Amino acid sequence: MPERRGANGGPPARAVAGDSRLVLSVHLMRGAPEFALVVLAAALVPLAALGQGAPDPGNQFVGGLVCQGCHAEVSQGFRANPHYEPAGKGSQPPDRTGCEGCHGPGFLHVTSADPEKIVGFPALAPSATQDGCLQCHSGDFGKMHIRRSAHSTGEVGCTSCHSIHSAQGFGPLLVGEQREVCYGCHREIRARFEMPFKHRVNEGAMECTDCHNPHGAPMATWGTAHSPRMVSHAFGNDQPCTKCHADKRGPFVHEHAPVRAEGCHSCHEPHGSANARLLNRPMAFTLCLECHSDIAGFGPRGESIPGPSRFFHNLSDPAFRDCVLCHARIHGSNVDRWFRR
Amino acid sequence: MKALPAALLAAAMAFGQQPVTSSGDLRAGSREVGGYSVSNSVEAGYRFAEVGGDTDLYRAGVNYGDGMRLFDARVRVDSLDGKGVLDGFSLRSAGAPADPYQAHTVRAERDGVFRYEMQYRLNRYHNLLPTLWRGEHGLRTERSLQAHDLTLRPGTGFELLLGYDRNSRAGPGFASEGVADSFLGFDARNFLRFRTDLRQRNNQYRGGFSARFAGLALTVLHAVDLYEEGGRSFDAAGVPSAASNIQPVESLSRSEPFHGRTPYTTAALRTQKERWIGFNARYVYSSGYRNSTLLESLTVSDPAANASTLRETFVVGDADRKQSSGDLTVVLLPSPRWTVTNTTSFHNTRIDGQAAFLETGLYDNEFMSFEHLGIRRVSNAAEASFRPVRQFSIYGAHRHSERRIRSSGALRFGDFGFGRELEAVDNGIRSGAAGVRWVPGGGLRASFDFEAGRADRPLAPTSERRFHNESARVRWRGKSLTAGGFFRRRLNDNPTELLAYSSKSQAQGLHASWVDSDAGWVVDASYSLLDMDVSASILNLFDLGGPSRPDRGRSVYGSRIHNLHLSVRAIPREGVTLSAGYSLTKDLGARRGDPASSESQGFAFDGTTIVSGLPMTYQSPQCRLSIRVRENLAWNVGWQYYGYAERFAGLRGYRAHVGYTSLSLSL
Repeated sequence: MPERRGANGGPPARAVAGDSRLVLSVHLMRGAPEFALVVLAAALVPLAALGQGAPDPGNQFVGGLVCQGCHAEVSQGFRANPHYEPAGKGSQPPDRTGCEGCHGPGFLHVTSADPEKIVGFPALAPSATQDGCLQCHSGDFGKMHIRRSAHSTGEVGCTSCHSIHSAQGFGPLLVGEQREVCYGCHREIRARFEMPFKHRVNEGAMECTDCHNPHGAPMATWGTAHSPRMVSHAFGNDQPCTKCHADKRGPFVHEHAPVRAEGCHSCHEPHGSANARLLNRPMAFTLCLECHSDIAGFGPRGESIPGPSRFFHNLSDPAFRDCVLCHARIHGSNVDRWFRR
Repeated sequence: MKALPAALLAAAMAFGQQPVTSSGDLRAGSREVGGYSVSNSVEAGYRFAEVGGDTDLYRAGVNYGDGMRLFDARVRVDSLDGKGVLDGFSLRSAGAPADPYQAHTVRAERDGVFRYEMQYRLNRYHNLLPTLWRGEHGLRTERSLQAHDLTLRPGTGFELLLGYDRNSRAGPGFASEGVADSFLGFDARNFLRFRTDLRQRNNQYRGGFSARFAGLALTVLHAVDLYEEGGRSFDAAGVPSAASNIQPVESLSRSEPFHGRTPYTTAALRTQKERWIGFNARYVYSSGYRNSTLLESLTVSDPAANASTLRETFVVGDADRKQSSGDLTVVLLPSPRWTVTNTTSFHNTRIDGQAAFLETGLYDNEFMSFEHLGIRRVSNAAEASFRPVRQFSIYGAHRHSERRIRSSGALRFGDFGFGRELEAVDNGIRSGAAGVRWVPGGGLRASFDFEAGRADRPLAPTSERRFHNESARVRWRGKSLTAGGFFRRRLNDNPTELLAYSSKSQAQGLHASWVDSDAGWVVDASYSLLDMDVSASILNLFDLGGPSRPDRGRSVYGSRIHNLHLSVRAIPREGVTLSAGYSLTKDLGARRGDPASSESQGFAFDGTTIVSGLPMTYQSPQCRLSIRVRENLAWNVGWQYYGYAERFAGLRGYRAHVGYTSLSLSL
């Protein structure tokens, strides 16, 4: 079974040591100052070839027309596939075009009719599948962080969600409706979206990719950066919530510091909640008082996060139990430092 | 072929979770028209709803009503020979005109020339504001979002990127107003709550390019986002006083225009091919500012003096936020078995706001304020995965982040002023993670992940301090049957000198799907238990009238959510498709035995400890029958029930029967 970039034309067929050294060297030779890099590359590229295995000299490209002879059900309608133009039209070198652009040289497969003699993606390890797809897609802007995405490190390969030959719909070649593809693994998130208060994903008014990038996202700019790991950024470096909830984006004269520093999920459960407004607690005052506790050592000044005046706020009176009844501009205010208007 | 079971399963899952829409009972055929393959399908009909109980709550959560609507429409056009104007065109539409949730997408492409994508979404719901006078909290909120992206010369080495987004919201907002009592003193009961009509809109224009050269890919994008918001003034005459000693309000009007812009620039450079090494780098700079004004007039009457007093408030302010962030990721692929990545990231935010406040009449106030908040962070994550054999891989990571938060402020009343010097607090976090993945074959795969971390000087008691997370998944996929389970636990302790905050959330579940492609049977079932326990030290602000009370108390929150999901789809005879589904979400609230468990009203207080939860049940059975009348025509009828009941203080709930009948047509 072919390993990543393995023998017998593991995807893609062009990934052989001599080829990669040549291409890299040609790019670098264009400028004399890069000579040192060329030397370095020449030294290191053989290292990269370790484990790739030597290509089978008896295996050759046969061209897509030969494939159509047996796999007519795949070739029919492939003209409409987004991969037709770059891969199926035959205008590229043989290792980048047609069926063999992804499946590797087919000579041995054709002559032996042995399915083991061609690269079959269902049989590949997820990382090997990803290697094959990234030969063309690693330059995509939205896939910059795919190598460190939780899907990649979790061995969730491209074909877990995408199907080149049997995709549903036009566009990203998903195996089904987007949310069903995601729910296939993330059942606990589906449970969240079946809560009484939720974002309208099941209703079709939103999609998972409105907030998430399944191919990996840069580090978060809120919180301490390391989580969440698959959340897109609005405006390049802002929380994705502000894309739609633009009124919370600010900037405000009086900022509520945790909104910026810790993120919206400090108070809200974004997928769905049993609590109104997707709050983390059913009663606002418990949520607020968990931070506004007067305990030393916390807060943006490291002193404490001040609690409400006990002479003014009496929780025995239900009117005080919903803090935002008075502190209505809790996400930020231009008028009042206590967020009352 | 695997495609048919996957499509059937997706359809069944979609049916089970999605309120009454098409579930693909009629397979769209295709025909050739002038060098194009054209396929389309449309389902349109009438939906009705009968709602009982708290209709505001229903409208906040479900909001389906009566009327004609397009349940689902799809058009797809593909060029057969690549010689036409378009290579492909697709349109999908759902919800118009009567549904509260609508989505429309268009995609058109000519490879090497252009690609255009459009999304339009509409979302109508009742904004569940706190109960206000005249019941005006139940008014409709409408959000619409549209995004247009045009790529010129897609698939070539140089692409021009153009885009436009428009996002608008209209509906009720909520505001409060402090009114002095007859002794010119303030009390929280003197705050009036009233509604404002909000109109928010932002438009974003963007342009840039993406180029591939010398083995590299460069993307540069610049955008300007314009935001404006207007709060219509509101006449509060006759607003009843919340307390007997408050001065009656004769009139109130407020206007709060608020606008600004956020330009941002993104530049990203990455390697096109990863041989043994690859890298990507990204830099983003955004500079947003907002200008705001508040004009307010309030008239209160003084019964003792038999006179009215006018209070006028004028506030003008502006705020500025500059954000820059960047990251550099290096990917090493030393052998087919190793993937090593290292990402270094920085982010810097600086927000400055200033406002002038002038109040005259009932009481005079005049001051200026200035606030500054700065956040700077540097992070690094080193991650590696190693796959010694095809069936097994391990993963490890070390993550480290340092953050500095700086703030200052000043307040000036005439010649008198005071302020806070620029103060800074540093905090950091370190964590390690590890995981194993096992794919032994035969359709089985399993994974386990673990992460543990420590933070110093967390920002809030609820922030991560001593935390560890665990998760595991297992799934087996056979020819007809797929089954699996998951487990995830997150623990966080934030001990302080005297008291502690701790939280534990846990999720676990099982799921199974069975597909019989020949008979057309699909069954999908899943069960999840989402468990959460939080204990936090809070100020004890309950004045129970006793001789003394402790200064500190404890808040305990518990949530135990059971979620059950079932869906079945069957084809009992040719041309007849029957679908049924059931979803149940039941929160038992605090842990059994706690005062606020499901036996009580979700809230209990013993003088020092508050125990809270939200026991509730939300269930939704549904069914759908589709009968093919002709080869390209089907008649559908469906019903869905929504039942919500909470055992909380207000015992709110609703029940709704939503039915529909529709025709599906494929041309």
